[in-house]
Amino acid sequence: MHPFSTCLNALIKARNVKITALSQYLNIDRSSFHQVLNGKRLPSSPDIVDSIAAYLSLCPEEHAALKQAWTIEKVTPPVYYRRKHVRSFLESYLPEASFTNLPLWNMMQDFSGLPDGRFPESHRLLNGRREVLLYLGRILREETAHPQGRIALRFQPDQKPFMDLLRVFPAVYPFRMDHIICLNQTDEIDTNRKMINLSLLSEILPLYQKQDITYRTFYHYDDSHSHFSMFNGMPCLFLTSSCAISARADFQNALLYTDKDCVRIFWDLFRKCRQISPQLIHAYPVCEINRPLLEPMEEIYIPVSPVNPLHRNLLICISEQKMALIYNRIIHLIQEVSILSAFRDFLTCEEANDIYTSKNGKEFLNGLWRELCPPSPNS
Amino acid sequence: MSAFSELLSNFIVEKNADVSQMVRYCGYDRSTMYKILKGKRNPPSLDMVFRIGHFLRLTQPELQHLMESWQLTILGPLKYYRRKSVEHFLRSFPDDFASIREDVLLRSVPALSHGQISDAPSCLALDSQMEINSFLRQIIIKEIEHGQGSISLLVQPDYDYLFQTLGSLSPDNPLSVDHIFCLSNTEALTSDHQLLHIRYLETLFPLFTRKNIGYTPLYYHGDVHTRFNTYNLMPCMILTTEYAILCTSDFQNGIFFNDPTVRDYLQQCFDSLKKQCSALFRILSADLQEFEQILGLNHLIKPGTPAYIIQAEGVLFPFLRRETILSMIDPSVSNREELTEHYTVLLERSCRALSDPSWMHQFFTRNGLLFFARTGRFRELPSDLCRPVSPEDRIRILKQFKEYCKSGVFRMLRSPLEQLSSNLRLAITGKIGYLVMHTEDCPLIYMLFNETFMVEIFRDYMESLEEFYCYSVEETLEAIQEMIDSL
Repeated sequence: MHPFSTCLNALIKARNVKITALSQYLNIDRSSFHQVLNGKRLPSSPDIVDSIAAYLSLCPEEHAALKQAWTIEKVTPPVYYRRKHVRSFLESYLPEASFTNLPLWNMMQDFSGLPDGRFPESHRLLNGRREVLLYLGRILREETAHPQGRIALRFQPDQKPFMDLLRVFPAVYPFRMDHIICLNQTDEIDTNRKMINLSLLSEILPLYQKQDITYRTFYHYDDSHSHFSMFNGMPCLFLTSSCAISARADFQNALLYTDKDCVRIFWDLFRKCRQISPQLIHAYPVCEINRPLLEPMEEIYIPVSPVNPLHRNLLICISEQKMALIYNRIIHLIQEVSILSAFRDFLTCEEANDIYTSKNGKEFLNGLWRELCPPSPNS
Repeated sequence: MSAFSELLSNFIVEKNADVSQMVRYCGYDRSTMYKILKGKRNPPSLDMVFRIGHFLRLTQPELQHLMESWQLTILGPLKYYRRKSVEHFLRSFPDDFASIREDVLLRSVPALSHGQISDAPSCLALDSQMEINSFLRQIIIKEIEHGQGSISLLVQPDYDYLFQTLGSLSPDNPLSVDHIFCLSNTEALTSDHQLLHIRYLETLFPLFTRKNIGYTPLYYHGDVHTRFNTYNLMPCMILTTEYAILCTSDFQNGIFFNDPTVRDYLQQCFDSLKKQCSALFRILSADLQEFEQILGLNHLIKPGTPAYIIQAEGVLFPFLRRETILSMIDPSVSNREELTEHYTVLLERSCRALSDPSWMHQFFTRNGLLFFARTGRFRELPSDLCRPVSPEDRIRILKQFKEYCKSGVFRMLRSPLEQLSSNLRLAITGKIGYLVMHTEDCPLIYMLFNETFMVEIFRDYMESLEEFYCYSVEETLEAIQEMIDSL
């Protein structure tokens, strides 16, 4: 509730300091200082926190902890943790890293774990997450073994093994994949102190890097706990042109359908949902024709210490209405409000300055375009 | 602009009324009246509304309309529609459930391409509501033939075909129906302004009254719209002992299963969900075995907490004398002594309640009381066990009853509740509420509301009855005197 006063009181007690003396040192009257100690007021500036640290002879770690407690209370915990999440997102952005799940890859090569080689005639009840995962892998592989494959998904991307499977399974031909996800209506943070919508974004971005998939994500706002609850039967869906797997929210059980009429019903339902859901990310390749897409977004943020080659850096072009994340030859255009606000809020605050800056953003962007789209010899 | 001011302004324009004259007629000052017309103030009393209405020479329907929009504005739409919903429920409460509908099952449903469930494969897509209805009908019929049939439903009570079918059944064999559904945790209104809770109650009520059907509705709180919309694919489930149907929340698409593995699995899921739900009602039947529990109900009525009771024939039981009870019970009845004993105890308990009636509010109707006056029978006592009370006793009882009407404890209901069903007896006090009624199976059952919001909405309605929906004390006394004189 009051991280700063809790922290301060603990330190004062530990150092056995007289409150009157401390308040005199800080030049704050006693009653105001008591209000600070009771959590009813917060010191207005970080300098006061520094003075307290000096008076109490705090070591650097204690000083940092007190400062952090003050910051959390100053900006309010949701904003604080949201900024922290955006920071860690930017600092560790490396989508390629998610493509190295070897054990899963190996499992995909061999389906001897399945009871029999043949697909069921019309339907089958799948028991246990492992069976659901194995069958999912199978239907994905079958669908992408011929051209014009199409896959439709409705499940939350924070379901690790299933999202991993989508990232690593081997496809023979390029295919289309549409994914409907549920975004949170509020900016609440989860138990890991992460902003839910940003976590979901982190999970789906890597799939845009894959060359052989035309991946599209659609979203709607709702309370995902109610949506994906035990009372809702089998709300998760994996669809291919010939099969459907409808799974429970915890993936403990699922129903596999191969009957074409049932599969058709699920496709109809999926299309109905897709029609009314906006697209979360519009992806475009980095090339000369697409340069104008970035014109409306005048603020350009680049890493303070960029790496070479340039296209291995995550660039952000942002305005009040939309933003673009540019990475590895792909422009990800996003207009969704919670993600847009989170990035804007972080990039425009002081603490972002040590990792991202808007100085020389335009030059950097031009440099990137020169690197990736060299002018043709004729022009 | 409020609903009231808008309607009033329309009337003024329509009738070409002179607003200054209206101001003088009504005795208001100009600025107040203009504020009322702009919707910045509401007229403080119904009397003023009538005065305005009379000035404008409104017809009865127009006056009614004006009064309703005044109520809507004063109460706010939530409260207003909430009360209207309860009123609708009470007004449409049927007298007699046995003859409520002809057996919907017998009505023919056109033959469809998929035909019979006996020919159906183990997994079949159902492409329209008609197909789903056809298969539902067949699996219900089959389940009834079963003997000890059981149906499990995970469906909102807005599937009219299903509930009309179930509500009209007269199975020869016992059939148990377990029903899990979501109750909203806010005052959700349907698109035609009915409170969702009440709409559900009206749909489900007939199922309590069918012979041989053991209906158990179980609820969990949640946001109905989040759980039952397009994005939820197929959240609805209907299971019988052999078959299962999964369908979308708009009942347009579904999948039929004739596969024991799948059905058993779905039944397992259903049973585990049951544990997280609460029963909508606690039901007691008024036979001698459960008598103790029913007496226990009287204990729930704590002196001091306002209690509201609606009973068309009036609560006359406490006015009986002990000697009367003895003569009332038919001598040929086998357990006469036991019955007498029980009714005497009941009498003592209810008399105690009357000793300090200031916190009791009882509502009855003219026709209900008239029934007693004419026949000497109490509807709440089984007619095969009890004989009518003598006319002298009736006069005495009515006279005592009249005294309580004088003090305003008992009020006579007028339109729109004047024709209230004699089968409806409703009692609300504090957080407790219960309904008593006759059914096909049982002479009398007591249904205790388990869900607090339900109690709340009925209580709010009953609290509002005295203001507009009752005859004045003088009119009531006059009516009762008439009945006494006729005897």
